[in-house]
Amino acid sequence: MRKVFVETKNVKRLVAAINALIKRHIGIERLMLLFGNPRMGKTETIIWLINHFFTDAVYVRCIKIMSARWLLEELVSSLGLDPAWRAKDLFDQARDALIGTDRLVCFDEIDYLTHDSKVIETIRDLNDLTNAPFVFIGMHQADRKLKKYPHLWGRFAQVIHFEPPDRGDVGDILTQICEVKIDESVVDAVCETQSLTLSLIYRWGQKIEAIARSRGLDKVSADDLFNNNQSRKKNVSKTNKSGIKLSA
Amino acid sequence: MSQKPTKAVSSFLLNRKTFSLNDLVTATGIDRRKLLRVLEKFRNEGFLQIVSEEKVRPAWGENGPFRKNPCYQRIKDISTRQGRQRPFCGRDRIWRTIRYLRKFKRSDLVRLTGDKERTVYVYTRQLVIHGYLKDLGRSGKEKVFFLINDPGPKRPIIEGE
Repeated sequence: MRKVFVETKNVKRLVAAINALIKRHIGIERLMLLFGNPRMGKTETIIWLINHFFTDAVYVRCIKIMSARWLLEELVSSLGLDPAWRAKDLFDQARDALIGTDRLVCFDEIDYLTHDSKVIETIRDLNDLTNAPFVFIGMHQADRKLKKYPHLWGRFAQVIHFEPPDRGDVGDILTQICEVKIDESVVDAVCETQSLTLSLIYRWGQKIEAIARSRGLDKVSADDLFNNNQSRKKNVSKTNKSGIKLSA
Repeated sequence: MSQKPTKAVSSFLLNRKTFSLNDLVTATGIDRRKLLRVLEKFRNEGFLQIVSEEKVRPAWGENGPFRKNPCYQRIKDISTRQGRQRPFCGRDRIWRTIRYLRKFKRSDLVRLTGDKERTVYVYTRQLVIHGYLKDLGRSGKEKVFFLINDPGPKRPIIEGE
């Protein structure tokens, strides 16, 4: 399998939204919410973006029992500073490091913190005082949970929902990651999978390659995926005739 | 060997909020022209602002015009100032991705960082040997690793690197 990151429609929408967030004029809120079902590639997309476009960005992974001080400490150490002891000093450190900059700050699993208004308000204060672009990443009900804070919800300049992959995305991903050719019927078959996620598509890719390797196929169709015995007999003869060998 | 002016001024500023150039010269013992240059650099970076500017008569036995003695105020925490850093390299990127993911396969690192497979292979193997990563077993054909020792955002410098 090819180890490539595939730019799906969700990724393109997210890139456009973050660019809009970065280019906003000072004085306009720079908050963004990204949410969606689990296994849709939200975290991986953000990490890929940080690695390729926003090298000075900061990523903080929230934890359910996090307090405001703990969050600030994590943020300050992610900013590359030595965290101070007092909460006020921590806040000052974070504010001084972020003020007037375009450093992207990402808070993953933000819905863990929505039960504690102190933490959420601290993040909002920090965003108010620094005007740095903040991205909240949450699970599928993050928007509903954050609507409890109307003054915060009103500040979101961009709200992106990661949709489940459609047929075009599935086709793009499979053709880019598989080293064998894929028939359109395979894409249709994969799309019929219930609650399709990105990780499931990658597993399908592995299966397709395994079948192609074991049977010596250069193009895989839906029949090869599901009709094991019949196709095996057919393909053994095909392999003997053509003598194709696939490298894994 | 005497302390470098930038370091001396940084450590002086940790404890003082308002000070004059003369105070700084007395505290550090460094040439006032060098100190003035550092103070101007900090002022341009937004850490200091001038409160008042005075001129001081040259000391007994010295010649020349009246000396500058500006009074500064610290307006931003000097500990947030980042000095010259080495350029961000592939290993830094891999380390950062490892910290974000915690549990990962080598293919995840190649996909997300865009680095070569060989680079990822060599670096992860070194991290396992030095006790930063643990090999959890295999998922399919690939090894799964887990970050067990996290010294912070700056990547650990491994012996012989």
